Amino acid sequence: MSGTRLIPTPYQVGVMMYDFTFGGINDDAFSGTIMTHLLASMQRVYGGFALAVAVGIPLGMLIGKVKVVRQMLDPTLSLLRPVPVTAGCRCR
Amino acid sequence: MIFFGLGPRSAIFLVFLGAFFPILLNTIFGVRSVDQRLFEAAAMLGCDGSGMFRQVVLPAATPSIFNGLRLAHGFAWILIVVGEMTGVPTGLGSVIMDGRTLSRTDLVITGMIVIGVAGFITDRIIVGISNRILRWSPATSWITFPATAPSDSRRARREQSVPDRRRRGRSAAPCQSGDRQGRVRVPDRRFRLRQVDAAADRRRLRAAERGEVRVYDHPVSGPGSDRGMGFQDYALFPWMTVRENIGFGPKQKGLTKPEDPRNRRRISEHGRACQVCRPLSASALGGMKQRVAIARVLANEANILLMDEPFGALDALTREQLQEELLQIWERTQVTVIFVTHSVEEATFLAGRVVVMTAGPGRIESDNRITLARPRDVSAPDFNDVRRELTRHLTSHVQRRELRTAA
Repeated sequence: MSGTRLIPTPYQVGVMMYDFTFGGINDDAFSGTIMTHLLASMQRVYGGFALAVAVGIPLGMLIGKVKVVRQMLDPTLSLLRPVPVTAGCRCR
Repeated sequence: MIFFGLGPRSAIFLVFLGAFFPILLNTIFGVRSVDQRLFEAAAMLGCDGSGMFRQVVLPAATPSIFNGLRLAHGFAWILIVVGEMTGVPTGLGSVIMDGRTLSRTDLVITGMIVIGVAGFITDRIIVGISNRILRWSPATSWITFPATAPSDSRRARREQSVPDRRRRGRSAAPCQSGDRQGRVRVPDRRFRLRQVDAAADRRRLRAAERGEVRVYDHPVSGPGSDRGMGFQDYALFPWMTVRENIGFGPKQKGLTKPEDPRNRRRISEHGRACQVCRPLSASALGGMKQRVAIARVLANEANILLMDEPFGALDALTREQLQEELLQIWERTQVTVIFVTHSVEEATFLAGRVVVMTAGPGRIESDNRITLARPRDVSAPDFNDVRRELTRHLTSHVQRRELRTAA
């Protein structure tokens, strides 16, 4: 029962949730696919997160402790930081 | 994606960028905001270079780093939705995007709920880890407070509420007591003056152009492991247990195990520590912390103990108790103590020699030997005579100055 109303009822969400997890109700492209999507997203999130940790923490310590590195990198980083990362994204 | 192309890789890159800056900035902040006193304390205990980084900077920066991790984790989940909106066939972001295209709001909300739950669980994991690692941190201590609170925790809280008063610029009455087989002397006026200044204001010591501190005829330029320092605010390492704090100095010398029998003896001698193995946390008593700080210096086998108003923040009873303990330690170890205090009674009670300093410019007003027999009785008439005499020295220049300003 998926209509075009803006906000679905909690019941509809519950049904969708069940279908998304176990399938067997709507039997469309999304039925029972939760693990595929969740794992794909988690891989990307924690891949990116781990990369950020691996680069960010050592670099942050270098910048924090070593004056030369700070003077070299801080202006660039300060310029880059306020730029929203989503600006590089082409969204529909 | 305009810049990074389309596909899963660009989604990862987007997440990386979003998570990178919170982590970076919080790490920088954590590293740069380490308490200067901890550096001084570590240097005083013989720690330097990479050891300093590993043992002081890293643990002290950890709370801030974890803060960054939590922020970054939140951003990562936000950005995965953005990253998966185009050109990615799988992923919760693409599910949400499909739901929007097909006007299936139930699908959109389902995707949001799944992300929310996954993000929440991971966030709890991060918090759990940080609470385990950061038991000592005031930010997390409310969680562990009942576990580490001493039996008389009410008193702990009261002592903590005593504000850290740092009264500077007033004249100080330092005293030097004890002599290690006649080898340690406070050799000349200059030494004493600068040394006292150093205790009163270490920054001024660094800026001092004239004057020089000499210990055993070697000039001194900064903290060193032959001189121990007792700080008014203790400067203990809050992430270490009492045992680790005391064992810090020996560890720098390569006596790696805090279980070293020598350390154990020291701990039992000086520590009187009931919670030796627990992190100090915010719940330890002020008097307890100062005991640990003194034990830490003594375990390092320093010959000289510099104390900068060490008992200033303690309540009167604890203060008296610690004065007694300090005298016992001094009698046993014959360590030379240079002690800065504003309490004339404290000076009279402890000292073999009292040097009265004037306030800015810091000059020596007088140098007094105190020959009262030990143990001293604070209520005895001759004790009172000495105290009155010292008080006169202490206030004389103040009056002179007031007269001068009046004239």
